[in-house]
Amino acid sequence: MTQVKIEKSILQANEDIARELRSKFKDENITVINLISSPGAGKTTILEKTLPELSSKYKVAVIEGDVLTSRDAERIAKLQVPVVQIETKGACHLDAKMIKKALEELDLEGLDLLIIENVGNLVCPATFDLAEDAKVVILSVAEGSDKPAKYPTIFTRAKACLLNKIDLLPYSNFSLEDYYRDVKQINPKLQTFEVSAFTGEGLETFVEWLEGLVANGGQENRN
Amino acid sequence: MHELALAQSLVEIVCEAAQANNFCKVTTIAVVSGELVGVVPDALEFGFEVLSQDTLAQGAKLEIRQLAATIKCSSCGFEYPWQTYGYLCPQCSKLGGEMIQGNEFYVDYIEGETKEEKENDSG
Repeated sequence: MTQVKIEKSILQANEDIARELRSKFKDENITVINLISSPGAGKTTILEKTLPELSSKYKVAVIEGDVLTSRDAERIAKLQVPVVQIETKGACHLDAKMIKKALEELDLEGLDLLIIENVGNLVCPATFDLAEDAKVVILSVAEGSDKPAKYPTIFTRAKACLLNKIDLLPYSNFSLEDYYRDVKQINPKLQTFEVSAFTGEGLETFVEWLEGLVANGGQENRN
Repeated sequence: MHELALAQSLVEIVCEAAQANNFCKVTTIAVVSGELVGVVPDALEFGFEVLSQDTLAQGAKLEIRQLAATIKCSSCGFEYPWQTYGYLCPQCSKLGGEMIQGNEFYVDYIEGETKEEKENDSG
């Protein structure tokens, strides 16, 4: 019997491609964010509401990930923003290889900001590095304030968290106190925003944070 | 649930190493899995069983060692489980610290029979 030490990451294939993409994004000076939430939390609607302002200032492109259909990409295309749809045909997350393939369809020349909308899922996308500068998690009021404690991984890996649908707060038992206590304990560095994509409330502060990210080459400005 | 994709990658790594080391059979595969990777051991084992069919890794025992996500307090240096306390130190109540364990996911080692060993046994 022989034992051989391997010590090789099982996610190596993804990590290798992510490293390659990260260096490409750095060379081209492109800031990349990876939007993650459960289905229906409002990722696409938040993009619809923020892209007009973002694209007036920057050259922005979007990669849309869904299990099926190109409905989200059609919604983004209406805003005259370049968009590529990835249909995973069942896979629960996007991986770096899918991003690399999607990039073939995008013109990266002069691009400032690439927004990747992951497949709606609060669990699996947390594991796969897409060469983003920041993971941004979105939670909606209707999902309940206990979700950060129940699905902590994504909250600990994200740089920013949007609490969406705050217009529904009066009609729900969502506890802001419990929510903030939990997210601060899970990830003290997490930037939090309260927004309503429906009314537009709070979105400008998130846009300002994104602008800071772009201005700092993907790094957060915490001064 | 993405264990099938991970199992595919696992089989590839193991078979490549087995070949490079002249194995004719892999008997044990030791995997280290950090809590934050969120791998479900049963699902990984099932995927592995299916995908290792007709490879050098077929029939190998998968030993998955899970590592708890652990925070080291930036103030008092105490190490504690993230699952229970998040980033709030139970010793000094300082919020913050650094995760020192929990993101690992790798093949630690493989065990098996090399071609030479097999020949010596049968000879």
